[in-house]
Amino acid sequence: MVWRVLPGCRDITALVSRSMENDLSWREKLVLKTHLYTCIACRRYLSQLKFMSEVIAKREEKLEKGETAAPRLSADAAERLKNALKSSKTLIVFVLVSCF
Amino acid sequence: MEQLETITNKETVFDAAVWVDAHGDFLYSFAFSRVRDQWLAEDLVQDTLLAAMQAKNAFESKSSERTWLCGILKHKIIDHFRKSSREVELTDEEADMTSYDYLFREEGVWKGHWSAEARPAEWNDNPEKVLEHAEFRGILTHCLGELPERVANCFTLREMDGFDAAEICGILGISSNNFWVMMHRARLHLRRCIDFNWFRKTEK
Repeated sequence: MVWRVLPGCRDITALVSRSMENDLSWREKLVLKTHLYTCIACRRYLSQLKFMSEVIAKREEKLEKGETAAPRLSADAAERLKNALKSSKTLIVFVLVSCF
Repeated sequence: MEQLETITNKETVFDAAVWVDAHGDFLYSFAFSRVRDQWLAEDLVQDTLLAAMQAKNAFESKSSERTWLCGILKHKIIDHFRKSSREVELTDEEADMTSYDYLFREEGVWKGHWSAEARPAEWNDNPEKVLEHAEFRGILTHCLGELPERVANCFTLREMDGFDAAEICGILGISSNNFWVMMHRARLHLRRCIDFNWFRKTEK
């Protein structure tokens, strides 16, 4: 029985992961392609990994634009930061620098 | 002299406050999305702004102030990842894949194939929409946080910061084989965790 010697989904998921980084040899690519052809669960696995990558890329985009994408600085934290900066000893640099 | 000090002191306060108000949220969100810890993220932002104050004359107005600050922050985060990764080899916790055994059948003709319960089902949603839900964003952070720290950091460097395998191996001081193990593990876990906590619960 052929499927006994062919890798199962467990091994295929490792190949799927490496395919995301384009790290497969032609032989591995063939094995992966053949498996995906007949296995809808692993096809979904691949598309869901891509989904996760896209989610993360979109989150990065939103972050750059300043849209809500991750927790923001609390008022307390902002205050702590300002105090920490205030007490730092970097005065001399500021005598020399007058840009913005 | 005393007068000069008051002036500079004022300026320092002024500049720091401006940065915190203008870019604090952005820098903090950026740091938090990578280190997933409130205090650590705050520390990293503080270190960044302190370093920026000292290097202010190195700033060229070619790039925006925000980009410049974010560049410093990225270095601080990578430094943090580098410092928290001392071992070349995987720790027992990192190498342990037995917690994923239940995803696959252990015996029978279909040994090594998806178990009935863990078999990926359709995700009927799109990445843009799903991100609008604060709950989903929380789940993403939570699921990453469940992984051993280095594994999560490895995934972060790859997927959020776009470093390639060789660069990540350099930062974390790991072998390329261990890089593949970590990525595979992170993806198996995240997919399952997001599936379980979001898609199976909300039945979208």
